[in-house]
Amino acid sequence: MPWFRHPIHYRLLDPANTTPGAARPLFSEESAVQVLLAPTALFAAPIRMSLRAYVPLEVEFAPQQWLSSRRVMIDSGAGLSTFSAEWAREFGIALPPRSCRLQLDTATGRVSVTVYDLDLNVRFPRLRDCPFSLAVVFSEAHPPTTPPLIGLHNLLNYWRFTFDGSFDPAAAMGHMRFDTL
Amino acid sequence: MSRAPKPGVPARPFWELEPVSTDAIRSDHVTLPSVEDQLPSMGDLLTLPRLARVAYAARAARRVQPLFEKLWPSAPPREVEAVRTAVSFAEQIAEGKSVAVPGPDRSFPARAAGLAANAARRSGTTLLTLAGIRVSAYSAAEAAAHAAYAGVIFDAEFAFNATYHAALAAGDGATVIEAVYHDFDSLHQTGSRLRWTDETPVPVSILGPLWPQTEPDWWREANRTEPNPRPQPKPDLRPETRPDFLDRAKRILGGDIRPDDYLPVTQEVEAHVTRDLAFAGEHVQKQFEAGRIPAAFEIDPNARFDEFGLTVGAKQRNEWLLSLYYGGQNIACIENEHGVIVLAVGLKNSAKLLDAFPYEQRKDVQFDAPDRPDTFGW
Repeated sequence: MPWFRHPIHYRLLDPANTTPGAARPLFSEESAVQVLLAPTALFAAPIRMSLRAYVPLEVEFAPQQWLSSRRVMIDSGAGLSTFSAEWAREFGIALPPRSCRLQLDTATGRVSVTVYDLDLNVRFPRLRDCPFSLAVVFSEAHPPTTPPLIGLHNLLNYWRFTFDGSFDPAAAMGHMRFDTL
Repeated sequence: MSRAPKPGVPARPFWELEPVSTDAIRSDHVTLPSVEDQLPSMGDLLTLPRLARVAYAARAARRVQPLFEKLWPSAPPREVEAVRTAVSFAEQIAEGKSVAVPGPDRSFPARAAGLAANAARRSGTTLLTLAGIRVSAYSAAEAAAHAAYAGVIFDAEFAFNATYHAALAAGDGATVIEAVYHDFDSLHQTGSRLRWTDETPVPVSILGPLWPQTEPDWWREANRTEPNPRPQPKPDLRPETRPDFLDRAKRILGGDIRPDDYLPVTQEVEAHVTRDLAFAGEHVQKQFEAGRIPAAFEIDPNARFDEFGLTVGAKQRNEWLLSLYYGGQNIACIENEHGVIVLAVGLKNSAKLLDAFPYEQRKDVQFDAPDRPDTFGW
């Protein structure tokens, strides 16, 4: 069965240290380059590595018209696949006229959002011969600058996906593997 | 609260204590410890109810906010808006209002103002003299960022930091500190009298005029209407942001790619990549030492995960390029081993590009909104 793998992206960041007694959190960089090239001892806590489970995805925004999204986020902790409604409108995706309200429990509390349901034809660029129909919730609360979020709902009808931490010289933080069912 | 100087604090204004280097703004901040001593302490602030602390912080940031725009007239609108929004956010939180922010992260206004502070600092024009007083756009943005954080985390330290940076922003620290004490006393007395709780909304308007005594000259100068039009921000010279971006995209998608079409790889980008790869190398070494992998290996920037992807070095470089140039913005781009070519910036322009070219011509074009450089993740 067709499959592909994609490295898990990572990068290092510098979260402001707000520990009591620590230096006052200044948002400014020191000298950006100097800090960045400091000895690796700087890699100590707090957590500085940001891991991103992104893959590229193509979306059929109109019949036979595909749009390549550079990054969608695979979120096995999300039930729904969520895209920005504003993003969709701007790119000509015809949202259904009927909306509904969803209550979402988020990390910052409960929010009520207006959403539209749509089954969207999508495909991974690595396997263009395997398009599938993804049930997407287009949310008015999802900013257009937030990457599309791919949750579990109906993705598992088509794919088995695995997060694999095996080391590889070109994927030091592991990779994702997608197998068609 | 007594406004008498604390023992050991010189009576001279703080900006006379140490020589100020105009080419190292940061050094100003670390050489001015007396500012901290002249402000209500964090212990003092803990005697205020939670929302009163936010009002206190917002008020301090509001006083110096005009400095940001005045001292950095060519500031990108995004940065100006970030500072305004952060102050306004803190004021509304103090009033007990529910404030919508983009995305799930409530600290967004604070972080945006923090980035504006960074940008101001990088601009190199943010420590100037206004009405004879040394003032700082960078610190004004810092004050806004901390005030907004005070409205999210409700920690007294952020409220304190807002006043600290406000005092630094207005080199005339005396007037700011005077006003800060006025706010503190008003909030403390009113709160005690009305038995405020942490949940009691505190509109900043109850504090009266922004300046309880006279408005400082630098503030009047910062708010003065220019006889001449305010200098317009310099046009963004990146070609992908110009009105003729579609003509450029047509040339590039037609195969006529020039070296300067790629985003310039700066020293900062290279430093990020170097650090990322060094981290990965250390990560591998630790796993090997812990016996989790059979052999250690070097991180080779030229390694490929498979025949389809970019090399490791190119991948990291491209991510940082996009993040540092266009983090938080919708873009359309092409990326390859040589770098990244951005074809359109902004959601509407990206959509115009999508409409302008058939899929066959633009199948290498990818649409994205790169992470901001300091975004940690969801």
